Amino acid sequence: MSTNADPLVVDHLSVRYGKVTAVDDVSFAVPRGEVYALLGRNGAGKSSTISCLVGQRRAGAGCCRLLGLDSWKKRRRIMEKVGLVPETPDIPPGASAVELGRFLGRIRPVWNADEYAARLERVRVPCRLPAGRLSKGQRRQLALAAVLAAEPEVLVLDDPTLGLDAVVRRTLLEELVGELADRGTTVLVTTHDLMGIEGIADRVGIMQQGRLVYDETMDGLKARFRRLRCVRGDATAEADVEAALAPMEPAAVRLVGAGVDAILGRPNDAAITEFTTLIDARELELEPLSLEEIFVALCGNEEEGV
Amino acid sequence: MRAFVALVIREIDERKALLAAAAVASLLPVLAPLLPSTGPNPAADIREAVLWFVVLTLVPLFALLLGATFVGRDLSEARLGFYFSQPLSGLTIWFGKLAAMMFLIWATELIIMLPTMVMAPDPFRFLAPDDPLGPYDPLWYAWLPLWLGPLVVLLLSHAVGVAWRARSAWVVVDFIAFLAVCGGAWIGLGSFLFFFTPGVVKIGFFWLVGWLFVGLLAGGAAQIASGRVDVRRGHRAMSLTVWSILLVAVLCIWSWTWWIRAAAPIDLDEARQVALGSAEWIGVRGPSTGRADFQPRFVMNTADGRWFRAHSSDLWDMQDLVFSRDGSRVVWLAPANFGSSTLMVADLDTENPEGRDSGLVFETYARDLTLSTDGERLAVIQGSTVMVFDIEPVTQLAAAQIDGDFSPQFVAFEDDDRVRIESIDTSNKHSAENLFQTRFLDVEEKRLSDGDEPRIHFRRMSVSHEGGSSLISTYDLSKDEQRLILVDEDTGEQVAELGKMTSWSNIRVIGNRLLVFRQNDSGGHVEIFDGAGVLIHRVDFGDVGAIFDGGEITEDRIVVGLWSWGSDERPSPSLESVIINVADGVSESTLDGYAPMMGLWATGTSAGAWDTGALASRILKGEDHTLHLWDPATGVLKQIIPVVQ
Amino acid sequence: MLGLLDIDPSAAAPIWRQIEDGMRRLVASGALPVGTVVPSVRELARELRINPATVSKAYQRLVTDGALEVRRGEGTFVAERPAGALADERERLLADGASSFVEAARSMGVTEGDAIAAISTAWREINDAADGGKQ
Repeated sequence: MSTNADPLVVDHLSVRYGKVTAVDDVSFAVPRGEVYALLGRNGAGKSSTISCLVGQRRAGAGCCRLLGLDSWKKRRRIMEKVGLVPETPDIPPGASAVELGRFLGRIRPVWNADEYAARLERVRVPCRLPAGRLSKGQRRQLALAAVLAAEPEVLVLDDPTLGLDAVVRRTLLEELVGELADRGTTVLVTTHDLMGIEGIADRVGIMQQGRLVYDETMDGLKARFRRLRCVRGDATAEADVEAALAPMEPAAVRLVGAGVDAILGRPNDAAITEFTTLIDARELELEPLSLEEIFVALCGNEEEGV
Repeated sequence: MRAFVALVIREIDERKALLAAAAVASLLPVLAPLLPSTGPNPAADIREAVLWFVVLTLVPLFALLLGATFVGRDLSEARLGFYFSQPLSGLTIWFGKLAAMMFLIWATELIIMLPTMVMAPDPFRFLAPDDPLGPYDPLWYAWLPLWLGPLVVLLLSHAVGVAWRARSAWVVVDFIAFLAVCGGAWIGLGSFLFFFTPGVVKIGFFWLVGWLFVGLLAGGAAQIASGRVDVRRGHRAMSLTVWSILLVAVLCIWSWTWWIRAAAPIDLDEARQVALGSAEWIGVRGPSTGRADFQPRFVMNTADGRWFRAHSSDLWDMQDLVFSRDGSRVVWLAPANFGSSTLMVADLDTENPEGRDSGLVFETYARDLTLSTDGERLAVIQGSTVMVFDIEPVTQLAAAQIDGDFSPQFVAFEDDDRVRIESIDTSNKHSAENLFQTRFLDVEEKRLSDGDEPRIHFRRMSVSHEGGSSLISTYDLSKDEQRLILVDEDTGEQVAELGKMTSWSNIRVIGNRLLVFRQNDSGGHVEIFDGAGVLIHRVDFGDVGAIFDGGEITEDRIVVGLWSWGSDERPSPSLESVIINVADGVSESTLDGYAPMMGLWATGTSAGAWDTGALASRILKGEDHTLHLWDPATGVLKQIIPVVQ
Repeated sequence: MLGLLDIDPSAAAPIWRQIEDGMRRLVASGALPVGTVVPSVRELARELRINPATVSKAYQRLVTDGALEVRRGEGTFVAERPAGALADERERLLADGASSFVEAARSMGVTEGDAIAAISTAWREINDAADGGKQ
C-alpha cells in the first residue's frame, strides 16, 4: 500500500465530533510528484481529513503523515515544506500582499520573493490593497501565490476554485499546472470542479459519509466506467434487465419504456455479449464517461451530509 | 526568534486602528478645560481628572475587547489556521499574540496619557501615581493595577471567551472548579480574618492572583498547542491547566496556613507579650518569621518545658490568657466567626495539657473573663450582662443585667459563690473620671445586690502579700474626693489610709510593697508603702507631664516612665525611662530610648496579685530583658527569646 | 497551434493518447512541418490545464518514435522523418479511423454498402463546403 517514501499518508484515520463520525477508517497515500483528487459530496469528510492531515485537528484514531513525520506531533517542522490553501481564505484581512510577503519571508525557511511578485503580477492581484478588500478570487490567487513562493514539497488544496468564476478558475489551474511542471510537487486537492481536475489528477479518491469508497488512478477509473444504452427485447422484463446488468457493477440504471440507460463499473466484452443475449438487446451503444458523470453516478443517491 | 518578532509585528499591524483610537482619546483631557461646564478649576486639575477617567474606562475596555478577540475571533472565523499552516510552534503563536496585545495595551495607555503628561509639570508622576493607601504598604503600589491590571483583564476575557465559544460541557467543570478554588481559599485563609491578621490573608490573596495569572498564561498556551483549531479541545486543555495550577496553589496555601498554626515556641523571633500565670506557667506570644502578621501564642511550663498552643486574635482584647489562681486551669477565647468566639480550656494539672474547645460559645463580644480560684467557674461580661458559668460541664449558673448609668467593667470571684462586679459610669454626669460602683452577684441564689457608693477605682484591685489586706480606693461623691485605703480582708475594717488623690494615679504591688505613682502640681513622684500601709520611701521626679508604671525588671527594680511636654530647650515631647530600686527608694539609672509601655503584668482577675517577683527573676536574667527557658532534665539553656516592650 | 489539438478529458482514450494522436495527425497533415518548434511540456500543460506528467508521457513516446526531437537549449521540434515514414503514418491513421467507423456502423447494423455510401456523401458535402469557403 503506502511506502515510507510516500510524502503524504493517511493511515486508518477516524475523526469524531461527539457522536458523529466524520471520517471513518480512511487510508490512502500519495506518491511523490503525484496529484491526488479527493472527491465527495458536501459533508463527506474531506475537510476533516485535511484538517488532520495538516496537523490542525487531532485524529480520533489512526494517524496522518507528511514527509514521513506525524502530522499532529511534528506540525511545525512539517509546515516548513508543506503549503496549505484552505477552503476559506484565512489571510489576515489587514495585510496587503506586500506585507504578507514580508511576513512570510521572515518566518519561512524558503521564500522566493521574485517568484511571488511575478506571480502576483501575472494573475493581476493588487499588491498594496489589504487582503480584506480583495475579491474572493484575488484572495485565492494571493493565497496560492504565497504558498507557492515558499517552494513546498507537498501542496494541499482544499477546494481551491470554490465560488470562483470560470476565468479565475482557469488561471488558478494554470498556476497549479505550472507549479507541477516546474517542481513536481506532490499535491492533494479536494474540489467540486470535476471538469477542471479531470485532466490534472493522477489518482482519485471518493469519500462517502466518512468512508473512502474508491481509491484508483484517474486513467483506471475512466477506463472501466462506461455508459451503456440499448433497447431491451420485447419479451424481456425490467427485472431481467437488472439481473443481467448485475455482474457488470452497475452504478446507476434508468429504464424508460423499452430503453435501458446504465452506467457500468466493469463492463468487459464477454459480459457485454452475455448481456446482449440475455435481454435480447438492440441498438447497443457503449460510451466513455467524464469524471463528473462517473461521480454523479456513484454518489448521486446518498444524502448530502452536514 | 525572528519568527516570533515577525508574528508580534504582524499582530500589532493588524490592529493599528486601536492606536489611532487612543490618539483621539488622548485629546479628551486636553480639550476638557475648554468646555464651559468645567467651572473655575485649574486646567491642570481638570486635565488630570479627565485623564484618569478616560484611562480607567477605556483601557479596561480595550483589554476586554482584545482579550475576547485576539484568539477567539480568529478561532471563530477559521483564521487561526493561517498561523498553524506556517512553521510556527503553538507557543510562538500564543506568546507572540499575547506579546502583541500587551504592547498594544501599554501603548494605548501611554498614548492616552502623553499629551496630558507633556503639559504637566511632573510628567513621570502619571506613570506611578501616588498610592492612596500610603507608600509603605508594599503590596498596594498603585502602578501595579495600572499597568498589570489590564493584562489580567485581557487574560480573563480570553479565558471566558474561549469557554463561551466552545459551548462544551467543560463549562460545568469550570464552574465547579471555580467554587472549589474559592472554597479552598476560604478554608485556608478565612479563619485568619477572624484572627484579625489581614497580612496573612493579603499574602494568600496575592499568591492566588499571581498563580491565576500564571495559570491563564499556561492555559492559553495549552489551548493553542493542544486545541489548535478545535475550540472544544482547546477549552478542555485550558480548563485542565488553569484549574490544576490553581488547585495546587490552594493546596500550597493550606500547607502554609497549617504550618502557621503549627508553630512551636522555638519558632518565635521574640516575645512581644508575656503573661505570667501562677506557679510555673506563662503565656508567650510574638511574631514568627514566615508567618506574616500572625503571632502564635503558647502556654509554657518554665520548669519542665511542656507547652501547648493557645492562638488568639488581636481583635477586641481577646488576647488575654486567664489563669485560675490556684494554677490548675487556663482559659482563653478563640475566634469562631466574625464577632463570636468560643471558650478554650486547658487543665494545667494534667501530664500533657492541651487546649480544648469547651463548647461554650459567645455570640457577641465577651470581655473580662475571670476564673474562680479553683478554675471551676467562669465569670464574664457580655454587653451589660454579667454571666457565671460552670466549666465542666458547661452550664450557665447565673446571669445579671446591670442597668442604668453604670455598665459592668470588671468581675472577680470573691469566693466560688460570690462575684464582685465593678461598673463604670458611662453617663459623664460627674466630674470624676472613671467612677465605679461595686455590686455583688450571689451565684447560688442568683441575686444581684444593690450598688454601693460609687468610687474611683483602678484597673486592677490588688492584695498585699502579707497581712491579707485589700487595697481599695473610694470616692466621696459629696466631697468630690478620692481616698486610698487599706482594708483587712477578713474583717473588712479599714487598716490604713494612704492619702487623698486628686488626679489620676497608678498603683503596683511588688513583693510586699505597694507603689503609688502620683502626679500633681508639685510634679511626679513614686510613693513606696509597706504591707501595713506605712510610707517608707518617696522618689521625686520633678515636673513631668505624666508618670506611669513601666514594669518590673526584678524583685526590687521597676521602670518608671516619665512623659514630658516640650519645653523651650527641647521643643518636642519626650519619654524617659528611669529604673528605681524599690528596696532603697533610689533612682538608679536611665534607660535611653527605652519605651516602657506594658512591661510584664500579672494577668488574672481574681482579687489578688501574685508574687511575681520570684517568677519574674527566674525568667528575666541579666540586663538584656530576655526570656530564658531551660531544659529541666539537664539544666541546659534551650532557648532565649528577647522580650520586647 | 494549440487550438488544433482537441483534447476531451472524458473521451475513452487516455489524455496522453489523445495528445500523441493529435500531434501525429498534425504532423501527418502537414500542419506542423518539419523543424517547427512545438510547445514545451510546461507550456502545453498550462494551456490545456493538464498534468504535465501526462504531456510528458505523450512527448516521450513521440520522441522515442522519432516524430519529435529535443535539441538541448533550444526546445522540442518536429523531427525529420525518413521518406515513407510520413506516408506510413498517414496510412496508419487512416486505418485507425476506418476501423472506428466500421465498428460503429456495424453496431448499428448498417450494411457495408450503406456505410460506403455514407462516406461518399460526407466526402462530397465536406469538399463542397471547403471549396465554397475558398471562393
